This record gives sequence, C-alpha cells and structure tokens, in this order.
Amino acid sequence: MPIIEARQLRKVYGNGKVALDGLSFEVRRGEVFGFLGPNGAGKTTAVKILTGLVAPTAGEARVFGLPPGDPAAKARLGFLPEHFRFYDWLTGWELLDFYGRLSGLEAGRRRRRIQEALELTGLADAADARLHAYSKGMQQRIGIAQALLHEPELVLLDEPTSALDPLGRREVRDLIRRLKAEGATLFLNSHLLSEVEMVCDRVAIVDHGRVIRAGLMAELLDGSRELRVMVDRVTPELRARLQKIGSVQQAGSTEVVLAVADPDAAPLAAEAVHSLGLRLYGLVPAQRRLEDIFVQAVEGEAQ
Amino acid sequence: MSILLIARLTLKEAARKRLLALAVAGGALFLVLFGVGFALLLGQIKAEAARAGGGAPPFMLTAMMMVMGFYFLNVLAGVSAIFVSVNAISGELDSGTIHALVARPLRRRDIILGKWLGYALVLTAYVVAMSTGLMAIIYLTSGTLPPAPLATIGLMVWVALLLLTLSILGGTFLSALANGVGLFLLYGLAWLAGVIEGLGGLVHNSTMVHIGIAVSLLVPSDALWQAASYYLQSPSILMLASTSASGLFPFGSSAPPAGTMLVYTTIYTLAALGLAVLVFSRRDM
Repeated sequence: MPIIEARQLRKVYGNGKVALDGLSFEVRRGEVFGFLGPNGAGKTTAVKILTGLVAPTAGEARVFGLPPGDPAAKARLGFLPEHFRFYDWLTGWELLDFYGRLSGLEAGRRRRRIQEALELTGLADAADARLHAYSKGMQQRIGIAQALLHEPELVLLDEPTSALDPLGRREVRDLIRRLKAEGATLFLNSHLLSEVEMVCDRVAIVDHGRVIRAGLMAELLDGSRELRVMVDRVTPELRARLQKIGSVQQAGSTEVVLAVADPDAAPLAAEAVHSLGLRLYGLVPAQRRLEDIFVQAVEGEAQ
Repeated sequence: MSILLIARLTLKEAARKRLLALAVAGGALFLVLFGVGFALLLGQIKAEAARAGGGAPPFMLTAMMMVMGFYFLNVLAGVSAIFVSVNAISGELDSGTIHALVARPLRRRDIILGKWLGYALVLTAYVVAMSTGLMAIIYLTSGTLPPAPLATIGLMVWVALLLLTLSILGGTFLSALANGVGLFLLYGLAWLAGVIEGLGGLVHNSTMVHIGIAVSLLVPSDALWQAASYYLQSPSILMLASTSASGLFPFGSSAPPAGTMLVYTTIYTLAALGLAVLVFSRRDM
C-alpha cells in the first residue's frame, strides 16, 4: 500500500482560483519523493490537502490509507509548513515541548527527542532563546526540528531550505538522506531543482495543478544526454548534419547544443565538423540535468 | 488532552504578552479610583446629613453606587473579553501558526475548545477577583454587602464568557479587525436595546419593549447584566425602587430575571461555541 495516494484531486478556492486540476500521484514507503513545479503550480495546496488543512473540491487523498486530517494519520507524519511560522513568544525548547505533548510523547522520550531534534538542526545553543530572537534560518530549522520531533514515518517538507544559506542547505540534504537511511518516507516540495536532483528517488513535475511528468529520477535522467559542439563558426550545413545526430537544443554562432541518445554521437559530430572543413574547438558530453527536463516539461505544457 | 494543552498554551500566552499584568494593574487602578470616589461622596453626604440634623442612613445612595460600580466593572469585563480574544483564532490563521498546529494529531474542535477554555479561565479569574475587590471596598466604606453576591458574580462572568464565545466564533471567519468592530457593534447594540426596553417600560410603550427584547435575543449580554444588577439590590431597595418610576434605570433593573431568558442565553452560548467549532472544522487554512 502506498503511503500517500492522491487521485484526481481538484481544488477551487473561494475566489474561483483553480489550484489543483486532476492531480494524481503516489508516494511509496521509504522513498524520497520530490514534488516540483513553478510557483503557483499547486504544490502547497497539495501538501495542505495531505495534512488536512484544506479539503479538496473533488477527488480523493489517502495518507497511510486514512483520510487526511484523521488524527491517526497525522500522528504518523511530520510537517514543515511553507511559511514556518510558530509562536515567537515561546523558546525553542518550549515550542518543541508543546508539540511533543500534542503528539503524545511521554516525558522521558519527549526530553530526549527535543534534545536530539535541536542538535540535528543545529539549534542546541538556542534552545532557551525566544523564537522572536531567532533569525529566519533558525526559524526554518526549528520548523524542521518540530517536523522530526516525534520520529514520524512520513515527513512532508514544504520548501525546507528557502531561508537557509548554502551550508544550511547541505545540512538539510544530509538530514534527508539520514532520515531515509533510518527508513522514513519523505515528501519534498521544492522549486530548487539541484537540491531535489541530489536527494530524490522519484519526482513528479506539476504545473497548473496537474502532474505533467513523473518517474524515477534515474529514468528521467537516463537516455537524455547533451553534447556541446564548439566550432569556429556554425554554418547551415553543419546544423543540418548535426540535426541527424540529435535534436538541436541551442545554436549560437560558434556553438551547438544537442540532445542525444546515441552513444556514438560524439565521434559522429566530430566527423561532421571535419568533413565540412570546420575547426573543432570542443566536444563536451554532459548528463542532462533535472532542470532541463523540468523546463522542457513546463514549456511543453505551455504550448 | 489536547484541549488542556491548548488551554495551557493560551494561559502562557496571556502571561507572556503581559496581558495578565496589564489587567491586574488596570483593575487595581479601577478599584482604587472607585474606592476613593465612593468614600469621599459618602463622607460628604454623611456630614451634610449630620449638619441638617437628620440621621437617615444613605442606603439608597450606597445601593446606587454599588450598582454603578458593578455596571462599570461589567463594561470593563466585557471590553476585556473582546480585546483579549479578538485575535485568538484569526491571529493564528493570518500568521500561519495554525498550520503546524493543525498538522498535529488533534481534532480541530480541540483548538477552539482549548482556546475558549484558556481565555474563559483568565476572564473568570479576572471578573471574580474584581467583583470581590469591589464588594470588599463597598463593605469597608459603607458596611453594606449585596444580598446575593454569588449570583451577581456568576452572571457577570457569564457576560464575559458570552462575549468571549462570540469573539471566538467571529475569529473563525473574520479578520481580527472586522471581528473586533463587529463585536463592539453588537455589544453597543445590546446596551442600546436594554435602554430602549427600560425606557419603554417607563413610558408604558410595548413596541419599545418588544424592540428591546428582540435585539437582546440577538446579543443577550445586556439582559445578563440586568439580571446581575437585580441580585445587587436588597429587598428593601427593590421595594423602594418599585415606588419610584425609574428605579435604578439605566444602570440596573429592578425586575427579577426571567427564567426563559437564562435558558435562552445558555442555549445561545452553547450554540455559538458549537457554531465556532463547526465553521472552524470546515474552513480551509
């Protein structure tokens, strides 16, 4: 049974805005699932449905096989909201203590877990400071700490690194890998594609409230390589020859970028350049990145 | 369990945000001012009565001052109830602190009931302490005690809880500002309705009485106060009041509260709380 099931979710807000329009996906146990999309694609609405904050207009969602919002389902998940706002008149420790009590952690385990969560998020020294004295980054960290506090099986993180510096982002990536190693399932909402690429097993790209591309990260990236051909000048003949080797992604006056599938693409391109009497300055094969797939998917959708 | 945790957090918030300290300081100031004013007035009247040779005890004056003192306390409690709770729900919705809270394994109704309970405890303690203080001052300066202090205090606490409940209900679908404006409007309307009803009684105009009662059904806060004021008056005062046309109008009522009003207000308060739970449980966050 999948941990999360979303079937044909539709959400129309009171102001008539359609946030979700037939959104379907599944998240399986133990995987790191990346939910990607441009701003306004409906990512946060989807997470809000899964955590019981928002009711779908149509369609159905199940978390641990239960309706979202069911306390039994919520007991097993941890959630970092997009805007990570907490009671800023409490200290970090008091905030975690309050949430720990709500999650039913008994005193001994609660104390131990608060300490662990603070250390994991690098906030041990700020435990007794009130949240209004926390920086934005620290507030996001305490948000991550409360999401992990009760050792949930499912952790939903909505843009978990939006307020963090590059070092903090790396720490969150390490944390995600660690949680996965410990057997947790992670749902990651993000528009930071390089981060998602580094940690996710599977992704769904959403736009206009619908999944437009989904699959294992390895599958999405496989078979989509790029070849950068650098020459003294790009002639129409060269373009025509290269077109037969792969599809032209970009073409400048001295450079052509091809999307290729054929492993022999590089030697074929070199031959083409030579046979036309042009000079070859560089021939760089590169793995396509998630960003390319994302841009292609979203732009393809727009056309 | 979640209800108690949220009530506890609410109490902590009231303490941390210096709400309690302010309420205690403001309340103390109120009591001192009332005590000094009352003592001076009483002293002057006694001195004048002695000079005139008559020794009639100024018990009508004491009764008047008692009802007026509690009248102002009632307004203070009502305004406090609105102010402390007007942002209780809408504040969490606007700031987004509600998101992490609702995602915890609780039912949404626990949030409403927990907040209500927390503020209800604060307001009850406040009204009880202030009422007791006021009674003590009146007793020390004049030697008079209200005949049914518990009934008065109970009804005044109820006024505060009624406004608290409406404030929580408003917060589930209105911004703090709109909620506050709406509550003061209703509170003022209820007061005006009480005056119209009282005046209608004085001039024997049944239409005015009916209008007053109809508006009181919408917000029974003033009707509760009228009932509270009745229990401040001893039988002899009530007898005396019945001989004059106006009694203690517009500060208090000399008519015993109707049982149906109390039943109606009970149902009204519970229904408002139930509606708050219902609206909050269904809305998007």
